[in-house]
Amino acid sequence: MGLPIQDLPDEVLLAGYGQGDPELAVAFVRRFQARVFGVALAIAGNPSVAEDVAQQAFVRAWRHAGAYDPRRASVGGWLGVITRNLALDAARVRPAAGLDPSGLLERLVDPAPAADPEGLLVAAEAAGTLREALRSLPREQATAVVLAGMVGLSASQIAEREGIPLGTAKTRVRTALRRLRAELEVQRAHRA
Amino acid sequence: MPEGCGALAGEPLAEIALGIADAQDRAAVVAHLESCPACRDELRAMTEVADGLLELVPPAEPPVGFEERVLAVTQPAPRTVRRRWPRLVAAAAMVAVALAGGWALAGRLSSPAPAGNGAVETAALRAGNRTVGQVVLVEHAHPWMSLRLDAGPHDVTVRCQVVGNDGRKVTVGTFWVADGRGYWAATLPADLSVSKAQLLLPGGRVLAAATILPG
Ligand SMILES: [Zn+2]
Repeated sequence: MGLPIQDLPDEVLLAGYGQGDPELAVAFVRRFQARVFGVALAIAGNPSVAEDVAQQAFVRAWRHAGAYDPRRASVGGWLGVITRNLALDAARVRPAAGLDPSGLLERLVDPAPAADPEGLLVAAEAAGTLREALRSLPREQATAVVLAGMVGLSASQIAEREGIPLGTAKTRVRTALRRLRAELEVQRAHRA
Repeated sequence: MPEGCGALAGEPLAEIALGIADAQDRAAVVAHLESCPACRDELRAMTEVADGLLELVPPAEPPVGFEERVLAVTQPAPRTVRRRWPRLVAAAAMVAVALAGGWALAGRLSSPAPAGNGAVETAALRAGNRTVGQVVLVEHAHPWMSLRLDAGPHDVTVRCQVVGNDGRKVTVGTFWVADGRGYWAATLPADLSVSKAQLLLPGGRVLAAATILPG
């Protein structure tokens, strides 16, 4: 029984990529490049910075493939975190300059039909659930959690940006994350 | 706030999960986490949700040539292959514990596979007439395999052995199974045409085996 490389699980492609297997490396990059570039672009805003960030993310994933721990995250989630951190580092000079958080939130809760549905298949179910949960939050809470988790703004930066007291910003972030978590658990229980 | 723990009254766990906590909050929480499994679990669950936000970002096609540029940097020459592998095997062996919720992709393996690519072979890992996992063989210049065990014994060391067409038996790795599940990868001898992969218990009894059909 032969299995085409593009049907292999993410973990196997990552292992092959880290190992230097030429065919698996190509398959790995193809499977994840739109995802990685998407995250880089969403945070960096600028396509040329995003490309730089996305390339660094793949290099870091290659160097640290052996440290990937499937108990803690999916391969896509792990790559997403690597990419976000690099994008935030790149943007640190001028935090969130030119960023449009409400536009970003809009795209998160109501994305355009995916141009590359194949890359999304893996996370589709889990992401759909979280998307629902994010949509169900009050707008100001959803904005706060997106500003924190995606843009890397601290509670005091959120307070400044939204023109609210620091305590309110903290409450929004904490309440939002707790509600997202609770909502996911409810939905999981429903499915089980 | 986890039940039974009132230590973190300010609840900066969310900020830590989101990666925006300041140094003072972080230090206080880290000190507390050392001794509080409830808050550790809470933080883990929150981090999962926080990281999940990234999966909502719509994908975007990178500029033309991106793939080639990445590969030029990361796959300059095949000579690094052997050097990098042992670390990966060690890490993979370490994760030979609960893959809770892991292997979301296992279903994809069982999807009908179009013929035509003999480089990758998959086979069910069977114990008696029960399927307990899956073996994937990658047949390249540097062949290797990965093995997934879904339903095995608990707290035992197993040995993975491959059997060649010529009857030769080679042990490719020894793995610790904490709670019946695990995922490992190992390199294979380049000159061996594998017909079977099996997991052996400490006494040498075969726990499970996968027969590799010729591609
Ligand atoms: Zn605690």
